[in-house]
Amino acid sequence: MSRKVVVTGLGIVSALGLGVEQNIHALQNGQTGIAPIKYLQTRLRDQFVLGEVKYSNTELKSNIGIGEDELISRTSLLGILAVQEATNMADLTVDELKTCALVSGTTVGGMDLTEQIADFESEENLHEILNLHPCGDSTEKIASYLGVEGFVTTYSTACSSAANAIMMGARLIKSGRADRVIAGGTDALACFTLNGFNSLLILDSEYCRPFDRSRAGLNLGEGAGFIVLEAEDIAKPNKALAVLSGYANANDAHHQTASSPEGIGASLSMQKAMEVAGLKCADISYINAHGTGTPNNDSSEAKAIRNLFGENHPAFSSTKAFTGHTLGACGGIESVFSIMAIQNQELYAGLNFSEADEDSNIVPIDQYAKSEIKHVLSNSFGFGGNNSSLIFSKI
Amino acid sequence: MHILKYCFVSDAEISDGSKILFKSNDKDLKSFLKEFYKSEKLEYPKFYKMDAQCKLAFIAAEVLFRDVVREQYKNEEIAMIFANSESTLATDMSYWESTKDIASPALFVYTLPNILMGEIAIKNKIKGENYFFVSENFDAQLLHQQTEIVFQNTTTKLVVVGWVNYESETNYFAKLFLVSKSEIGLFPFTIDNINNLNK
Repeated sequence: MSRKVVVTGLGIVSALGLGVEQNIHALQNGQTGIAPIKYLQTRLRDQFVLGEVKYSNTELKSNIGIGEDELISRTSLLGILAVQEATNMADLTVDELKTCALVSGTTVGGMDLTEQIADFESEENLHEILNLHPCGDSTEKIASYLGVEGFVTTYSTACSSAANAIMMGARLIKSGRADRVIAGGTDALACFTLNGFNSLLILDSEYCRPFDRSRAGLNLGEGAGFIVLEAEDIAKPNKALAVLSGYANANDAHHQTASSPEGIGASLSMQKAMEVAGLKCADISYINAHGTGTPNNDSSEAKAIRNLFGENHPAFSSTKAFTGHTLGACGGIESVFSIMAIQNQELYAGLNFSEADEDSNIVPIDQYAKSEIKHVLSNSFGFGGNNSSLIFSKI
Repeated sequence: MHILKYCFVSDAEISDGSKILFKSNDKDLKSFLKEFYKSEKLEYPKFYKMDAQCKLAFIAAEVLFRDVVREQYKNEEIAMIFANSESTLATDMSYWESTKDIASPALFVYTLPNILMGEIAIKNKIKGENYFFVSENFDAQLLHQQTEIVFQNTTTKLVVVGWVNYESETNYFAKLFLVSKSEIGLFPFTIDNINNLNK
């Protein structure tokens, strides 16, 4: 029951680039990946900016070594790239990969392909395309491409999907059901989601401004973030990058899409994650906030942080002004950032912040800085009131 | 782990394991559930905003929590683990249709399967863990394993375990269990019982 879970590999694809190095370089230098729309075919092209991965499907396929004509969703392509990097970093052998479990979170699955079907009657590849539609297909594709034959499953709990996948990975190891788990999430941009978020009136047409008083909504993004989790007792020596020490999930039980004004679910998930890790508020060095940039999320999350941690709250920021909100993948992407903050002993600042909310009056860090980092808390909150928090600790 | 209560909804029939609670001649899910809603005098206007799958889950949960002394459990001590094979396909398609004109926010909200747990959480003040899985077929082993994991790892005392699938107005199915960590209940919560308990 009490096996320690360590992180031995990281993989990431986002608007900031392919791989950990490009992503961290952009974070360190305050360069956002959000830009005018280039790849997504949408009539909203001129209205919004997006955190697109700056490669076409053809380029992604050639990068992986998949034939240009192969039918595969963008969600799968992003996932394969991130998992490949993570398992390489962890030095997993073919045999180790074979017995690995894979837990992935996603919200759109193969929607990017399905929505391009112009006419269901005349589409030649209809069945082939629709077979790629389910969320689970992207996970199956990643597993088969990497040769993973262990327990494979998919989480779909909106924007906390990847965080929940990582939490489940930890539990599979702790309870002895697995020794090694690849966990995270992947989501590609789709017109389906862009139109949907637009209809909810929570997109900002400008660059998003997490926690800033003038914030007006989020920018959508896409990408994948995966980490390799191993039981400490079987991990190779000197491979551990961090410990996954705490995790929790709670329901806000307030509204379908909005967070409670006091951030009840957010407080609960952060508090329970600290209990699991056996940590006090004062032990947390940095919070990678969910911080989408919507008036509602940031106000609710800021209040939860303020209520739970008090005036001397830890440094916090949202990296979504760099990547956009990558929905089902954000928990994976931000776990990679959280672990790199520990590895490099540094704090990643948010962007576009100038003034705090009047009522919570808490200010995110706005300057990249070297800092002593022991424990990082990463939040992911989803529609349906599904709130998750993860804690990564220094080895 | 023991099953305290269970509820099935299919073919215009609601049963709670021991008996049929409600039966309608109207096979269409929406009208049948509305009939039940009215006959039970449920006063919860949010019900009317929900999509069909959500209504299905919501009504099954109402039956499940009936006669449960809710005060025995703290809000954080109740978790939810749901699964289905359709995700939210029916609503995905209605929403997609709407985007040809103006994307409907009311439909978009229900294109996430876990929203139905959100609705049950709001009504029953449930603040514990909640997960939604999409499997190809009814997977008793997955539901059992996940419930066991939640009980082992948290202070959870009660889990609402459910399979809720809406394909069309005449083809729908809900199977919900209220599972307690304790050794007292109607039946042990086993893979066999998850599979075989029927009506």
